[in-house]
Amino acid sequence: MSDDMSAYRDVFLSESAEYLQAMTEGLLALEAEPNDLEPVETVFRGAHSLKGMAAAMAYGSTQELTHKMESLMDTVRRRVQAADHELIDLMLRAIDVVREAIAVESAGTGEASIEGIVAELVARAMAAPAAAEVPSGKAPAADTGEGALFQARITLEEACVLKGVRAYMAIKRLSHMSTVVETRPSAREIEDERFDRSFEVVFRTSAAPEAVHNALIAVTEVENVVVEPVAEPAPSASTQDASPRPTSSARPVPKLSETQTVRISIGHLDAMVNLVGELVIIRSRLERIARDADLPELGDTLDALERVSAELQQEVMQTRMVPVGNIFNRFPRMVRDLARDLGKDVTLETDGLDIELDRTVLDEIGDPIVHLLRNCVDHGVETPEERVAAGKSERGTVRLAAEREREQIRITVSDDGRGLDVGRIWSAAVARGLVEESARDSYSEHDIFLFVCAPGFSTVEQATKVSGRGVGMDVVKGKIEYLGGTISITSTPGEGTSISLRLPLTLAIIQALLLACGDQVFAVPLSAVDEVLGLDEVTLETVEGRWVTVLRDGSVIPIQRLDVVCGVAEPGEAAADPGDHIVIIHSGEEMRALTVPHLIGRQEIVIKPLSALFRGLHGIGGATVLGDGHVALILDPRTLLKMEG
Amino acid sequence: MSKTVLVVDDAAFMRMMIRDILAREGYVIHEAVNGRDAIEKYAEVKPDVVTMDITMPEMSGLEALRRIREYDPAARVLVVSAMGQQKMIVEALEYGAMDFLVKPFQPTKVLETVKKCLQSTPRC
Repeated sequence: MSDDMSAYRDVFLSESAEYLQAMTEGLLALEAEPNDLEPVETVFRGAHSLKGMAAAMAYGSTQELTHKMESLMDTVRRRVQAADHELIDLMLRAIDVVREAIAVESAGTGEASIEGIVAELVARAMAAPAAAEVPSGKAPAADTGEGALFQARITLEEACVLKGVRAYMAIKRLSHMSTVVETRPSAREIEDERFDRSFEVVFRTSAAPEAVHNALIAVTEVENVVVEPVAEPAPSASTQDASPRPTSSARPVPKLSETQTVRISIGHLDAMVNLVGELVIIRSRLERIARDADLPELGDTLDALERVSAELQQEVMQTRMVPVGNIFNRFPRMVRDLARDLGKDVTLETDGLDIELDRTVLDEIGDPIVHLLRNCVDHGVETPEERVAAGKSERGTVRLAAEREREQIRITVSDDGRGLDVGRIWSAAVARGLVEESARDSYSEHDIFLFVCAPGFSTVEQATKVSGRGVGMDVVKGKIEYLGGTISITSTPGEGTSISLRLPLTLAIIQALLLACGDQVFAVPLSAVDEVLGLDEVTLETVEGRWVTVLRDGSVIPIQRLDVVCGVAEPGEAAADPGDHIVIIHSGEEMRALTVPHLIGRQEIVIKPLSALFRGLHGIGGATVLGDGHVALILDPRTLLKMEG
Repeated sequence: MSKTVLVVDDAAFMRMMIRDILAREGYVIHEAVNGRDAIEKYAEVKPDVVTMDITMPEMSGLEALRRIREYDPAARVLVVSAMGQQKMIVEALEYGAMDFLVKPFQPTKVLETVKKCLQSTPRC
């Protein structure tokens, strides 16, 4: 491919992805509101535009497939067909195949296999008007193929277990040597195994009938095949026209985005973040020099530099921010497919789509969210019958919401399903030796729910195909913690379950509170700091030999000396000495108070990952270089809180 | 010369079962415990047929199938799956799997399917 073409290809790839997304959204909207013609137009236009683009790129398979999709949507536009679930399903599957076809053709790795789906699209486009039963009579051929018209009657063995897939395999085999015109029953019914042992396929081929027969009888579990010629149908004016409509090319391309954008490689953005990070460090070093040397003029200039570099930093970080909608928008389709597979009725509500998150974080959380959504649909939401019996609406709701919480983002996945059973989780945890039965009283409900994140944990007796093997929640938790986030679970039996993920907005630059212990400076991410208090504002007490602090609102929090925690001093008697300040930090729902000898203040720091040597250190999550060139260790509240007091 | 079969399944039990069925008929058996392992073993032993379980840790059978077919378009792969995985089997067929076996299976069916697979030509 010439350089010119490859430049077009990038544009083609990004634009076609946008069209396919717009079409998916249109189909889902249409499914919710079958009489709304607006989404029909969107889907129709999308297919039409894609067809034209694919033709320009000489992507034959993509062009043919989108052409058939366009024709089918045209029948819906003209109200010849109703947009029922089967049609939406077919179109959604066709979109998947388009995606694959584009991937194959743009990579130049050969031809995509689109025959099966094309046959289905053609068969559906020819189906009789809405509501009517699937036609079983002679259908007019969608004369796209060459050769004579034949019919094959295929009978499967009695013992055949997955008839639908077997039939699919036979039809696929057939489509390699012919153009499949129609199947009886319909492709959809065959796929759903709604046929006895036999089905018929009408096809057009130039191959010998014997060759077709031999190819079909060779398919495993095919018992009998009868191939015979079929009379050509009489041309009929009332049937589907598959020819391109001259007017449609004049249709305006749908406007997908008003924002002007430039594509930049992530490598450049990462390099920019690093450079800005260096700049931040040099700036604070200069500030220190200016202060020490007492040069007011330099100080003024530095103020200006600070303003500019702060803005620059913000802009650079902004370039890396992506709205969560970018990954959330593929979930409605997934939830819908999953719910249909499981025979459930579920809607997905999304909220906070415009909340932005650093793309490194966003890239990592897609899989965990998929897992949580699957759990909701599979385990959380009950079947319509169960829901009605429980006095709930037939349709379950799964909610996926993002919201900003200071320097963090909170993503909540919740359902209105059956909720978690504390008793069963507890017994399963005991049975697996994760905890002693006698320790029940020291575990809160929330603690017990978190057992579902233990490796290999599952209370579902039979693993379903979707989830329930107990691999997964531990992976989710691991991933979230790796990103510096926390996970929490709340649930009410009969009312539903809610899982919250708290994540940092970015992984590179954070606001931190600097603390000093002797010569050593520590930084605590500001997002983990709840409160900074004077010693006189709290009461210290010992409970069972441990020091705790009692806040003014009466809450009791364990307290430790920062110097002891960090190994700078030996454990001493008094928790309060030598500390002028109390810093209260949290990780998830857990809180801890630290007595701190000296507070330096709040500062922006650039996180440098620790070398492998230090990575195992509990309580330390990274390091940063301060303005004076010294290194400060960044406390990691998550592991810090796990350490014994 | 006897034909070689690479049996891919994370469950040792299933591997043993398929191995016993095929070894009795003179096939030479190699085993892999997940998708990733399958790809390595495939390159190593170049088997005539692969029986590939779909649901496996590390790397699923579908992904391994896709990569093996990418690496060797003439690869003959049978997918092995449980009831209720229709969609995945269809996906596997799209990726170029030649046939499928449904657990639990009868020895005759396994032999018949492997034999058929060896007789037909993979579509590249």
